[in-house]
Amino acid sequence: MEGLSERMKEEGQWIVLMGFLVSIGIFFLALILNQSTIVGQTTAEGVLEFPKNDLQDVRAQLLDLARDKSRGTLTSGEERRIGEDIENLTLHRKSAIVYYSIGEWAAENRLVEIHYNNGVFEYDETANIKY
Amino acid sequence: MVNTSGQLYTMEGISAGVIMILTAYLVLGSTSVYTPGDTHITDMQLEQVGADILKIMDTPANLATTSELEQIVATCDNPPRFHQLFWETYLMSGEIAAQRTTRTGSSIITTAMVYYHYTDRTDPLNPKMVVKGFQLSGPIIPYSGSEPGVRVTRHVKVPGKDPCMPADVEPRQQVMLVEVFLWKA
Repeated sequence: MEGLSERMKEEGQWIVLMGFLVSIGIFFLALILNQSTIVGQTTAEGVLEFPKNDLQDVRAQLLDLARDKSRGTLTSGEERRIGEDIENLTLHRKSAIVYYSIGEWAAENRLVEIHYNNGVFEYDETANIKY
Repeated sequence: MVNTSGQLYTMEGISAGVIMILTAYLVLGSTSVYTPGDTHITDMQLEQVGADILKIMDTPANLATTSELEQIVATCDNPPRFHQLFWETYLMSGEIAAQRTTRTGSSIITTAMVYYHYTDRTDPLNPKMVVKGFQLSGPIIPYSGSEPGVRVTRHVKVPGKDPCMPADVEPRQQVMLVEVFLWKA
């Protein structure tokens, strides 16, 4: 009994303790590394699902169109034909429904109502443009 | 009496067990397998780059001129410069592209279509809205269908009909859709 305790020296305890601390440190680093893959994937999915570029493009075209019509550069008929271009191209090639209307609000001001829906994401805006 | 002389061995055994379990957890948890489903990370980057390039090309240098993309669509890319601008100037850095003697060495292939909308009045009582397209710039290597590809688009103003465009394009000011397909070959 005494002989056994004699053989178990207690001098190495600091080394054992440090070993524990290091292993716990590595454990947490690996946890973070493990999360990074999931973060990259979900971010990419989120970006692909949100039609940011399409929306900016359609919005810019429609506001431009409304501005041209308000300034008198385009007649009502020409404006409607171009509007149909945008609506039909977006529907056929981008599978998104686009609708817009231009309303008078005040002198040199127009309210442009924009609706966009691609089945996953829906967007509505009433923009006020000055011309 | 319970013999307590072996306690250090017991503790050592337990700690060794904990370390082994942690190691197994780490090894199993930190391995990531790159499955085909994960390619949308690179797809997302390619799509954003493509959309940005189209946006750059559709931005006029000043208020008095039209954009490069508008000029290219209005003339059906004749003389051809869409590919040179899109691929060489913007997608690749100009210097890297200049070092290549052939364009086939590219790892990213592009092809561009233009879609237009017109009303089909062959049946006067029942006019139909039709969307059709024509090729703006062809690919160097045909698309096999197996590479992951992305599609980027941009609406472009066209002042009128050019003789180079298909017969059913309406002779009026209109908006066409430029659709660029990008894939890694």
